[in-house]
Amino acid sequence: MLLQQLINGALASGIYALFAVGFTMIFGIMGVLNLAHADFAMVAAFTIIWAVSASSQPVLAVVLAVLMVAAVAVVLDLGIIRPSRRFQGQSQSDIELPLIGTIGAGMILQNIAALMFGNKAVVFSFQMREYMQWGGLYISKGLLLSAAVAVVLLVLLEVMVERTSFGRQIRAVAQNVNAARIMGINTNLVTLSTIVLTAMLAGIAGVLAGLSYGLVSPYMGGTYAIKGLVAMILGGVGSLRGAVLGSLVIGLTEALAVTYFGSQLRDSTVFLVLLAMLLLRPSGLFKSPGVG
Amino acid sequence: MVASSPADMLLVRNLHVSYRTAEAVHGIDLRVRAGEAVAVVGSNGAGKSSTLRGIMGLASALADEISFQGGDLRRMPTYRIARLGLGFVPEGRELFPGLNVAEELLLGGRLLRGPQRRQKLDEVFALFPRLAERRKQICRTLSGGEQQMLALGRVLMSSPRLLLLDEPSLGLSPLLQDAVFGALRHLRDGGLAMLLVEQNVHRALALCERAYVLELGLITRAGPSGDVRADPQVQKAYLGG
Repeated sequence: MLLQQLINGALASGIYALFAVGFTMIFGIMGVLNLAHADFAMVAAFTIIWAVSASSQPVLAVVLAVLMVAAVAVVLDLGIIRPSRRFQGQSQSDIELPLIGTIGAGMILQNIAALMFGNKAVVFSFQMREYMQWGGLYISKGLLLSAAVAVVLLVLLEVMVERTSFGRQIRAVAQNVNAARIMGINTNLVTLSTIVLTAMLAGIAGVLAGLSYGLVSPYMGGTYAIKGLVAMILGGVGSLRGAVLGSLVIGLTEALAVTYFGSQLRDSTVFLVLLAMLLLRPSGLFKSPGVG
Repeated sequence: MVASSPADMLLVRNLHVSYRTAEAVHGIDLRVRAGEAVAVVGSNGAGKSSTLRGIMGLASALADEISFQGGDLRRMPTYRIARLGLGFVPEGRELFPGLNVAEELLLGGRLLRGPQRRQKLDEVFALFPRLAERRKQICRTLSGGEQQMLALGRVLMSSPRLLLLDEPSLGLSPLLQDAVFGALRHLRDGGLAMLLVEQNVHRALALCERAYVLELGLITRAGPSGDVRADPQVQKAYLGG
């Protein structure tokens, strides 16, 4: 029973990690807590539902979802995050303005989805809810696929950030934005690209969640936003590896909480772990200057 | 007022630099010609760093002209000014604390093609062998002198046409100042133009052919370094004469 729950928790943490790395990269590079970030999961999932119902072409649906997520991410940056960051350094609204802006953007996205598809959870277009049996354990094929996709994407992300010129530019902007400018780096383009890239990861996470659990809702981003944020803080803000490890801690904590305390206390236990971490090691598991 | 000439690389006319309500530079003119080393000297708070930051678009600047090789720099974002070939080495170095030496240099040379980038890296390592020894070391763990070498090396990686240097000797021991100024002399002899802002007037005038004296945001003297050095007021105020 315990092993079964631990495996479920570890597999589920793959989806959490795809959200957490986005939160940590955006905060690391811009100092902005983008609370609309997890809503890209919903945008991707509902674009696929809409496109499949309209055309029955899965490939076209995925392409449309990618384009929609990218377009919404561009609008979010150019329309809300960038204008609100212009006021940085001018008043105490430094942090609050982008924060409130992204909360508002998330609400708008949720309301549009609710208007188009209703307030309740709907069945996702593709399902992978079967289980495979392995040595007396039941493993969700959807969650296994989610974890595998997450591992591949997170490794690629790590390689991109650590080894490529674009990754060095992301780290440079995160560590010293003025120095990045005098090095000829178009910092606005780097931040925009980062928002689009991380929105894609959140979108993929939303599709994987739909595949694994079968249902998506306009408000699904809220749950994942909280888990992604907790994972970011547990891991250490700005640290990609920390975000992944934080996600694993959340997944395993949830599994243990369900086993020993019941599913009602699952989320509370995660927050107790967060509280303990903030008291014992406020900087999180990993310390990172900027993103890395 | 200075009139433009075809030999001018950088031309600045009536530059005002301000920070919110306070103006730090009150309408100055200066020029740097191709291959020329020019110093801006003055005491702390005279507006030297603000001048460079205004040219680079890092501080709010108003001017009748800020041009580089004929192109207007006013209202141009800093990253585009840098890409035109103005290599700025700021006061305090402004390195990326989490990058290592090689990463920092590669960032500077990222717009070069592979073989050119490798050649440039070799040139920088030849100029600063200390950086080659520490290529895997994280920048924040370098000594002050090594950080200054890296800040200069990083800019050289981008093959600048004009160096803007803000207090390169600041916080360095005399030995390390020798090393940094030795490298600057080497670059000047190679024909690289530079505009040097420096509190160490002795070193600045020894390196540069021409100099401007900046006092309270205004240029009070300008001319060949020898003339500026011989000026009794400069002697008294900056050279302990």
